[in-house]
Amino acid sequence: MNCPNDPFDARHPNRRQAIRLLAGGIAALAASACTPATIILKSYPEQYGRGTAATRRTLHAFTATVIPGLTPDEILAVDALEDPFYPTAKYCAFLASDLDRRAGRRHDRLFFELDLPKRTAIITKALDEGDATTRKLYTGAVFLTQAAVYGGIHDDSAGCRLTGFPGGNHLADPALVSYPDTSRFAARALSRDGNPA
Amino acid sequence: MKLRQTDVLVIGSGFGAAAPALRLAEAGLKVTVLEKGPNVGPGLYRQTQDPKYLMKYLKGLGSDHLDLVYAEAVGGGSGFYEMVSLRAPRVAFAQRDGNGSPLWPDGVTREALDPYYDRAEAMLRVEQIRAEDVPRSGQVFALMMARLGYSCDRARYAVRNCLGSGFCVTGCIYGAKQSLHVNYLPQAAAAGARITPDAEALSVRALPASATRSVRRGDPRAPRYAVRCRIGGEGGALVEYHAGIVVLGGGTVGSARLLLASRPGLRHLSDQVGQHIAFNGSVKAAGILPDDLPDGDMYSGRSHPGMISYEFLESHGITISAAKPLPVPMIATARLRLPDVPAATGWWGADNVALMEQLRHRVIVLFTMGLTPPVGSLTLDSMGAPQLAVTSLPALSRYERGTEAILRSILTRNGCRPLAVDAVDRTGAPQPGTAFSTTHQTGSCRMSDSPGTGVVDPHGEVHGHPGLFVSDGAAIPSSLAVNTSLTILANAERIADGILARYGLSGATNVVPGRTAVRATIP
Ligand SMILES: Cc1cc2nc3c(=O)[nH]c(=O)nc-3n(C[C@H](O)[C@H](O)[C@H](O)COP(=O)(O)OP(=O)(O)OC[C@H]3O[C@@H](n4cnc5c(N)ncnc54)[C@H](O)[C@@H]3O)c2cc1C
Ligand code: SF4
Repeated sequence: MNCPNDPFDARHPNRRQAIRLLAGGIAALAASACTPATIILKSYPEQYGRGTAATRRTLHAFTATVIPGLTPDEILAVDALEDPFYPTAKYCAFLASDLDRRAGRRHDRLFFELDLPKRTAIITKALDEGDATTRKLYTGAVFLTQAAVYGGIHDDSAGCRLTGFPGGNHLADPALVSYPDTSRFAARALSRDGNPA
Repeated sequence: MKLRQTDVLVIGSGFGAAAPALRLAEAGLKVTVLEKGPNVGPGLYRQTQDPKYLMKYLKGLGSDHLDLVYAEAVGGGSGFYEMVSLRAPRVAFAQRDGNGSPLWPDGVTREALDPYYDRAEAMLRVEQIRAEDVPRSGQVFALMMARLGYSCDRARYAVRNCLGSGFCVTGCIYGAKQSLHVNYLPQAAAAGARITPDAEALSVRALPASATRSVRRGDPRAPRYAVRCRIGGEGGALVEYHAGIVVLGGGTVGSARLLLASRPGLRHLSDQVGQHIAFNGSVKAAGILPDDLPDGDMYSGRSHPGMISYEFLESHGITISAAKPLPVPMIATARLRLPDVPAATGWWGADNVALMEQLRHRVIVLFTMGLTPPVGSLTLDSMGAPQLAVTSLPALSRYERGTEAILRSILTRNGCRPLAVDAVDRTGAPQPGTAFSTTHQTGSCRMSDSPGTGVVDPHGEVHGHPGLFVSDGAAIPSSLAVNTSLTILANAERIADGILARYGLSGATNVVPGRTAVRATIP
């Protein structure tokens, strides 16, 4: 991470902008306003542009590492990582190139070619030992991946198979909303109307 | 800039704004309601976790130790709330500050609010949930409390014919929720109020006495204030409204922001604006249910699981409920982790998936609201952006630890395996130290007996500025230990009655529950 054009380098203005952008965007998930995307980072090998095969392949592997057990059809989090609405879109190409760079350095392979334990170790190391910015960027990408998959954000009705989240627009069987033997669940009540104090 | 006249200008369209809008329109005044947020309502809601949708309506203001979440949309928080409609307990009104002075002004008590609670409950059709409608997570929580000999009450909600779809916090697509869109707001419109979405009030200025001299003192129509606004529906045009009565119902954040931005035009404004924000100190704990407790269900039934325990209210100033967070709000608030996996990696990867697979049925989340002191404050930076701060951190962190201990004890004595709940900051990273996140903020322009201790008088009128009122959560001077909306609405009804009385107006004050022809009149 010591290349003079490295966008993750704190001295590089793009890096500072990326941090600000990330903070604004993640706050967005916590229901706050999103900082408008304003920067274009270009300091990575050409094949890692947003939406390129190399980037998507690596982000696919990243998602499958953050949430093991997804079927290929369920790895739609890549779309969220590349969605310009979220700050990750501005650095997902760097994320992909950084994952491949780390995989190359440790295993002489691309990230997607590694098995799950090795991919997990690479992300763990970046989160544990990376500098503050690397940790922030990886944290943001994991965070968005989880929101995208567990929340099924790409499709209102999709939900998430792993967690049993049904998504929207499905009505539960009323018989399954509450247990019928209500007296079994009754605690001593302090009031008759629900306003005890 | 365009100039417009109205008798009454109401800022915002949430709980604090809706009651004065309706009551003053019923009294025959020309009422204009300006709402900063977009139009939304039963036909426009989505059952979704898509942040693009959520962020359109739900906003946040954060600091290192406190995050406030609120809605900006027609109906304010009512479109997105969980419909829990509880009266504030008497102990809330009895709170005192560090000097021993009462937080609530003279005369504003539970007894004084009770008739207005009655009215608000009738308008919103509030009812206690039936035992057979309590969602499974609430039933399991009640059983856990019962096993320890603790009490637990069925809560009250503003809802009719709930289908239990579980998406109350993204808006009810079935029209079951009794949000302000089905009662106060249409009735205000029917009484002549004009409600404009995408219209933000930017500043308020008292008009010079000369501008109002020609009009009789005490005449509600005498223009006393000029309010500068940006109207989105008119291409962002700047418009100045002149009004005799201005009612601020922009919420705890919105009303304080507006008053802080208006200081140059309001000479007598108290220096307490933005101070004393209370936030119902909510603490969370979670655990995996033991085999001898039945499944809960995070995703079926209404968003709030139906039961609330007042067992620790007198002793510790807290109420306890279970919680059923949808995935995105949960992930944005905290990382759940098995306690025996490392903090750095346990929040993602295989360990996390193993936990997430149990989340729906085998995890119980407990949640408190507490009588924490009003120690938040809001200021504007040099760019006019709001900044939030909190004082008294040692006391807050003692409260947090003590409350957490109670919740963990309830979990462990029931045989649950407690989970680590790591609060996350606004970048998704763990937030070390004391951190509260709430939708129940109050008090930034609190009611007080004098301008030295608050911003508005007990009738909601800004000290030193006749005709300018604050009627929303900003006026409520303390934490309540229960959800805030019903108290805000009841107090706003009381303030509206006071405005009518002050100007000698007699209104019909109809109490017409949403979407029925039932009509009654409060004597
Ligand atoms: C997801 C969620 C769930 C909740 N669940 C519950 C619950 O179950 N029970 C409960 O009691 N409470 C609940 N609450 C809290 C409750 O919604 C709030 O206490 C309540 O809405 C506050 O009322 P208010 O009138 O103070 O402000 P709001 O309802 O927030 O209304 C203020 C309005 O003013 C507008 N505004 C602000 N500034 C301006 C301006 N300058 N110009 C024009 N308009 C402006 C805002 O856009 C907003 O629409 C919940 C809140 C949220 C967000
Ligand atoms: S649970 Fe009930 S009130 Fe909530 S969104 Fe579904 S139908 Fe509406």
